Amino acid sequence: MAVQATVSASNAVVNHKRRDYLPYMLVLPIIVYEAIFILIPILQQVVSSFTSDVIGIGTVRWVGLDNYNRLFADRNFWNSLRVTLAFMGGTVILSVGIGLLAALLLNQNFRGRSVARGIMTMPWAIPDLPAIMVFFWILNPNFGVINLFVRWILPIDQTPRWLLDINLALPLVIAIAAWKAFPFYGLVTLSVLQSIPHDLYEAAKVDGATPLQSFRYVTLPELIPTLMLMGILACIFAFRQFALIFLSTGGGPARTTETLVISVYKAAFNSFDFSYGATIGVAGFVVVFAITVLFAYLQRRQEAVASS
Amino acid sequence: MSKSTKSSKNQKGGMSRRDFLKLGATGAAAAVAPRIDFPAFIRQSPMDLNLLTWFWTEPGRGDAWRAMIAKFHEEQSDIRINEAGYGENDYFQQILIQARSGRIDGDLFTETPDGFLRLAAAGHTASVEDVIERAGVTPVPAQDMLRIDGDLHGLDIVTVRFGLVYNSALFDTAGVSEPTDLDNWVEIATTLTERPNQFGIYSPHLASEPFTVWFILQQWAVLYDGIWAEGQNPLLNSEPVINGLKLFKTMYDNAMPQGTDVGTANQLFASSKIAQNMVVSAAVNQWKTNTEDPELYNNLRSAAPFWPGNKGITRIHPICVNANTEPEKQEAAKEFLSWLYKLENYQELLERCLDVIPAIEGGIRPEYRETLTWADGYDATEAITVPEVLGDFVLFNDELGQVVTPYFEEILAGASTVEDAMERAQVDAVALAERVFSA
Repeated sequence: MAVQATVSASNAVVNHKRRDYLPYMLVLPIIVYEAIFILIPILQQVVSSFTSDVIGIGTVRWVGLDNYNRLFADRNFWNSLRVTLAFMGGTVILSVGIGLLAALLLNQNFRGRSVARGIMTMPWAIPDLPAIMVFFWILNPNFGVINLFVRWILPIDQTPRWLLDINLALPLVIAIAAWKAFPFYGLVTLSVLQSIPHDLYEAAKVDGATPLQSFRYVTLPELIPTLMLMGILACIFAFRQFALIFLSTGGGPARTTETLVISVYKAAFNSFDFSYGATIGVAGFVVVFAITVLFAYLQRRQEAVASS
Repeated sequence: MSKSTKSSKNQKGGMSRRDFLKLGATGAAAAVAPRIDFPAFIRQSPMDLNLLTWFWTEPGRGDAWRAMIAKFHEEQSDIRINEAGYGENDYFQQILIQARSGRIDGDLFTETPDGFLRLAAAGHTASVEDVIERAGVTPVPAQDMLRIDGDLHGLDIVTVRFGLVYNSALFDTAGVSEPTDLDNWVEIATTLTERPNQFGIYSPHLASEPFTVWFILQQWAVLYDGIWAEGQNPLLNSEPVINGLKLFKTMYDNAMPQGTDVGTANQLFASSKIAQNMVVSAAVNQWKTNTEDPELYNNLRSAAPFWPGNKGITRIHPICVNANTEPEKQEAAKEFLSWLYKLENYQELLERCLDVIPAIEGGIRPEYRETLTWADGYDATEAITVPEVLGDFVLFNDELGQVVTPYFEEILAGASTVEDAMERAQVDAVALAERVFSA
């Protein structure tokens, strides 16, 4: 009996040890994958930012902080940073805001609600390239259909040059990006709205709350954690946005839509200065990291306020 | 277990571990085998060469090359040429990136004049001096720019020159004739414009097409007998460059389809919606093959130079043998080039491509040249090479373009004057020069 107990105890230890290793074994492939395809390239990029690696100019050599000195003195970098923040801010506010409004609207009971939900998802479902080409043509200064509408509405002969106009290019690109992204945020918000217990609204109604007060004191507190998360996601998506900007304006006119991602591309693949491209990339990483930390802090503070 | 039992088990459709391993090993060997380049005498099969070029996607030129390579394949069976490469917009970037990673992924490749100089300096091109001897031809002196230490490291496979191509039918309808000077040119372009149905002229100007914009913008300064750099000194704020950009801005405001990309503009030109195009001679081929208007090609003409200096940037595009490919492939590549550069084959290629500037003595047949009614203006234009226009920046052509184009966009948008924008561009270009030439 005692022997049997010892054996089963020993088996339990072995099984326990096996169980201890099992989770690590299971996640090992993804860790190896992430290390090879994500961590190593990031580290390479950081290392590259301390070198001079321009095609056709000698060999790769260590230059210390030279690229960072150049970066801080480069007015094009500061311009790109400003454009990036404006693009992120504009896209986040517009896409999450319109997504919220659309979700509130589609959360109501009305005939054709399912069809309306389907239609709402279309901008998000259309691939980037055809969507951009459609806008590129709509906004063409000579042939774009928008010119007809503007001439009908406004008493003008000469329509703006749209994406070629220094003052209009960025707002238009933001609008296109928001149009493309808002259905995603709308659908996520809608799913949260539908999970809010109806009792809460009935209780608020009994207490004499107006629809606006119901929204302020019932809906919004339930939505805020999701909105915060979507804010972070929207910032990261907006920061990474490349195809839309590159294909519609190429960062122009006169760098007015040149975000950091476009700057990285231009430095690395138009000027063939890989090191400087990597340096801008590292700066961009710092920006996104700072924004993520800020959102995480705000979210934690919000949770602390809610629990107290 | 008896053999019969084993056999009966296999017959039931199950696969033994040994069979599985055999099958796996055979599959792996089959996957790897074609990648090993055995010498020809062992392989008993043709030597495969990859020819990297953007020609394959170029209307007209792609078909011409395919026809020539089919002829080469018919005449011999030891060497096979395979298509490889990218479209024109991506090609130069991709080749430079391949070069940076250590080796260009082709046995033969074509390049731009500036790209060639960069790759030759980095040791990616093999000498092809013996090809000339084997082909028994004499290269024109312009090919000397392809010499490294006296040896040719590339063979000019298409030389193009900038000029003004116009649609003579639209000129006739508007009652105008070839421009006599630059002011007259502006008047003609304006007369030919009836927005949005017809435009007087097109030249690329979108920030999303930076390489093409810079490539053609260079000629606009040459219209005032200007250059963009001399040695290591950029000349972005020099008078000819400023005048060239002012002329562009005037044309842009008065006569261009603003906001139109190159592909669309080519279609507009092909459908007689654009009257003039400041382009290289090679572009004409696409309007012969890519148009629904059967009369368009016959209506094309190039204007006799009417600008100061009469110069047009002349770009030599060499075909090179990759210095980093296997020696036997280099030899096979030279064999192919020797065949291609034989006078009759070269003439055939030139004619199929609808080219007009020969790279070898006697490379163009007079009877063929007589058929090119659109080529007189190009012939009358005096050649100026890319190194002459860009100085030492020829090695950093795209980088200089990256400096110029954002300021150029400012000018087009009316956000600053040409003088102010180019003053600031000059400061950036000097900084670029310090960075690239001191390294």
